[in-house]
Amino acid sequence: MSGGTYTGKGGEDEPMQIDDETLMALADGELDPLRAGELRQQIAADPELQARLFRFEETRRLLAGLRKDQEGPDPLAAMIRAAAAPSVANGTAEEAARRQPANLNRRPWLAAAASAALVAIGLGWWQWADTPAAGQFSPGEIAALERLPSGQAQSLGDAGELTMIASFRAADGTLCREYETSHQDRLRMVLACHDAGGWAARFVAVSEDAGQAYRPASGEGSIDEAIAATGAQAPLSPDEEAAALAE
Amino acid sequence: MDAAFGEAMIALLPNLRRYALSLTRRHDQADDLVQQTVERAIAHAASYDPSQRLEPWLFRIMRNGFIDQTRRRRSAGTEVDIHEMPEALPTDPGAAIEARLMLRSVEAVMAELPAEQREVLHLVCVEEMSYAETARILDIPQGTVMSRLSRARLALAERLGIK
Repeated sequence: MSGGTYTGKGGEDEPMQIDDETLMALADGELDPLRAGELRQQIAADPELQARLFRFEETRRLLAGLRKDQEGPDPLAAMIRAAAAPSVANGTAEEAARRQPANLNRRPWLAAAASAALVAIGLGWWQWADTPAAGQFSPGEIAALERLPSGQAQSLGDAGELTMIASFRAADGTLCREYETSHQDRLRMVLACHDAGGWAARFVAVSEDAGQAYRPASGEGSIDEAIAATGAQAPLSPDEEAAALAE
Repeated sequence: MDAAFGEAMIALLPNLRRYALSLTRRHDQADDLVQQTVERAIAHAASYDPSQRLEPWLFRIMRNGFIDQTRRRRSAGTEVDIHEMPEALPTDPGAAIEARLMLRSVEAVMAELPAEQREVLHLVCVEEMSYAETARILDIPQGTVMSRLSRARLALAERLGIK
């Protein structure tokens, strides 16, 4: 996307073919001044074009009315200033996050997301990291699969931290669980199901760059597709999950 | 992160709250999304290119965070949609009320539009992002932004009775 000024479709040779997108670009100030000037002259002589343009101008005006600001200082302003202040020179975002325990406790899954910084920030492309297939479970992971409620995290010792995301019932009744492990910049996203032979990985994706890019290390596609492939419906509620883990 | 970056971000908090509400349509989720976005922006302040506008950079972090959350939300309970909780309206007429009613109508019609149309409407017409910035935030071509936006505007105009 070069991001240049949109010049509109159709040229001077086709005065009858001004399309909606060109009129919209005019209303939004996205046309270059020369083209906008030509177009305005043409519209001035044509009531039908005026009416078509008006729909775009008016919708923009009405939507701008939604740009109402809240009153008073935003509660997050203090947090941002604290993070920028020299007195917390070593204040990382993780520490800033930990200063908000109530909110994080209210939504543990968000704490997991924030601390693992899983999302690709707007840095451009996604690239596959080069890692070996990883479908083996450590004893810590097995323990978490057996007991850890969704939304909670547990230490894996030197191997980082594990956060349980959700539990599902596959179409055949098999219990499946989705979790993530983080160790420095290496993140793993895992779907494991408990069949006759114990826990088995149905899908593993690995990121070596703090979640900016994942590559499937076991299975294909996305973890969502892997979950869908088990035939699972909605995730288990906390009560259903507790009952399933007690089995 | 330096203080100037922090202040620039604070100035954009109302914009972030609006965009979060437009994405989640739920106040509690929107508040969480704003906080998460701010935390990530602070953590990744070094990767922000000061020659670019801050707003699209933050919006993109927020949108990616929202997509990521949506996956996790499968395990969450139900929340109440803000559009299903109409407030009691005062009964006295007047220009201010008319304007509020119109805003309410615009919000209601927007809520009925497909999410992808609502998204471009919000970024361009409410947050005043350019087409090019919107394309970058959403990771779609500028032509797609324009076709979605045009369809959304015409649908909005029709449902609001704008001729």
